[in-house]
Amino acid sequence: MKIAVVGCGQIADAHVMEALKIPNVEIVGVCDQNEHMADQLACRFDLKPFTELDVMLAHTRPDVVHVTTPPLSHYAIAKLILEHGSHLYIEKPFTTYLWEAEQLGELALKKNLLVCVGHNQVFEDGFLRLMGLYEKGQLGEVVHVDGVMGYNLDGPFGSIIMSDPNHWVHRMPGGLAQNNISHPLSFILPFLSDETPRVRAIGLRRHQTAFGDIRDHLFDEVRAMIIGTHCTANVVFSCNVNPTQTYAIVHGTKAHALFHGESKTLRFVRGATHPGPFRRLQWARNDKREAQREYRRQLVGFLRAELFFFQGMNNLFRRFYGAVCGKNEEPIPISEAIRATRIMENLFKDCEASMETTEQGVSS
Amino acid sequence: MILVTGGLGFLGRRLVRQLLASGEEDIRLLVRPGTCHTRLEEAQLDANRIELFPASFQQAEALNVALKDVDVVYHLAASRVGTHAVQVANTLIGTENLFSSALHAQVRRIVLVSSFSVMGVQNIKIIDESVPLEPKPQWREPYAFAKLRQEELARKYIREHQLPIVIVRPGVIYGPGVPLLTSRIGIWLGRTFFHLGGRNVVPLTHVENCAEACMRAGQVEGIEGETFHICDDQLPTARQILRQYQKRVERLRCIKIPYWLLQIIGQLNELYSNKTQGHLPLVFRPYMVDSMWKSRAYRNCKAKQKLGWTPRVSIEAGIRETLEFIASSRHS
Repeated sequence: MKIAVVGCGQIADAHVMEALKIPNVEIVGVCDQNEHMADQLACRFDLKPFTELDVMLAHTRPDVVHVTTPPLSHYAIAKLILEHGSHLYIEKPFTTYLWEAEQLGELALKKNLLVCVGHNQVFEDGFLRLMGLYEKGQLGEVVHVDGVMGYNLDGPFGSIIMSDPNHWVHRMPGGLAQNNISHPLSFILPFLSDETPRVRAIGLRRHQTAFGDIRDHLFDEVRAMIIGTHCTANVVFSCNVNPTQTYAIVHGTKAHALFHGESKTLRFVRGATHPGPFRRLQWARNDKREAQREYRRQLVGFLRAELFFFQGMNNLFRRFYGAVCGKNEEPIPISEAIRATRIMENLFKDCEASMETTEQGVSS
Repeated sequence: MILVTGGLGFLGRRLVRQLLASGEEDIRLLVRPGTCHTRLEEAQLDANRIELFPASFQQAEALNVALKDVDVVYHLAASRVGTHAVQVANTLIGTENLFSSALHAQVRRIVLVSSFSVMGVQNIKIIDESVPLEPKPQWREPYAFAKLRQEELARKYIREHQLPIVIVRPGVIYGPGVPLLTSRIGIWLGRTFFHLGGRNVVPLTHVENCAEACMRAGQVEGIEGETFHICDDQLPTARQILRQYQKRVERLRCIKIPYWLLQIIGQLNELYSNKTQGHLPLVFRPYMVDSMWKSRAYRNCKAKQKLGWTPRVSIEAGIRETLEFIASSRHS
């Protein structure tokens, strides 16, 4: 299978490394409008660099193109690739606006091409096992999901964003949160059946630094309640909690399960049945057993050299490439990417509205 | 008018102080957007004599304004953290924008502060300006990769556009305010210090010495297109520095890894990493082990001859001052 990558920023490294681990995959070209960016990726992985997308598509004729450019450019680039006739893998967030996602959906359907969004966290081993529990009925009916993501503004990407008012993140309607919230949102989507669930959200600005520019408008805290017919969800994005971590808690009528996005571990919580003080002992013992089981899994994974940071991305690539070859179903249909974009658009509209209400309240 | 990028950094603030002391009056610092004047006080610079110009290297128009009436540019700013993509985006693309604006502004001199890490030193025993650039950039860490590409870009601008660039390559810049136990001496794993190599000479340059060399590179006539290595005289080995540290700062729980053992570790690291498709990072690639911890000699004759520079702060005094600063910081 011939793969190409558009956008040679830091996430492109992960795409190239994970794609190269898959048998029968060849990366035929990498493209970035800046020659230095294309060169740095091509040089390290011995690939062919391009600075013009249409030239790369014409010369290499890839089966699948990975789009790892800033989200504001996803629509235009994806449209060109679909028109050229290649299948698409697009990094999250799928598109900036809902109309872009819907138009891509129509075009992909018309061209009979597959499109996959990079919701790779739900393909991590721990989350796949959580879904296994759900499908076997061990969680019962899921009534609520919490999806939480912490973000470090002093980290390698956060510090770049905060030091540069011209960074593309600041030009997105939902800013930094829009670039990241699809991770916790992706945890809740499998349990929400509604096409357009109700969304109530607030955005907060806790950071004290006054830059006097667009950076002061960045939401560093977002809280959203998503209300479906059978299931509700809370989505939390925070730049102020420590340690920074991403996790999901799935609450079912029989049991609940916690997937931890940093350690990729799963905790299945069945509760306790013993009476009185024995109940507390039993609960703690069950927690200990869960932790021991996960520790053993991690240890075996380490000894087998299987603990990769982007394992979920690798799993998603394999399934998507398999779907392109007709070996399996699409891992994430484009309808799911459009649904996520719709929820996000409503979420950030609500954040802006809540901020305006707060500011009006303060000024009056 | 003088423009300094990275002028609030460890080396930059010393350079600016020396420029002021030498009588330069018009100094403009290109700083990140949002940088306020309090940073000048923190850097112990006279706010009345320095103009702050907040702009990003990505803003071509702002760079053109920043370079208006500028005679000499000292380009010190560089990214030190992040992946290859991040450092190339910040260091290399920023430098290209600066060079492009400098060409337009017809500046008289650009001093580019590069790094020893741009050289390919494998199988070379004496390091001077004749050593070729790294032939295997794909094997180098992000900082070295970006600095190498930056220097290649500078050479291209010298060759194709006759941009008057002078390249200064400092060794390991040290002084009060930075840790002396760098990776050339060893690495920390928890509370244990793994002393790597030992006999390798560390190409130290005291920050005041280095700042003076940079300043002269902007002042001396007729050296456009030249490269200068800046390191001090009578350089110590990694082991000597560690001994001084243990004597003056604190006793360390220390495990010595001799060079021959490092080579074996490097080969095992590479074997495991290749076999497992990168399960553990390749931090001890044999090529890197050779570059970082093999014993070599360093020469600074060209800088002495052509820049008229000599390291004023001796190694003994500089190390003593730095270790006393570290010790007092720990006590306070």
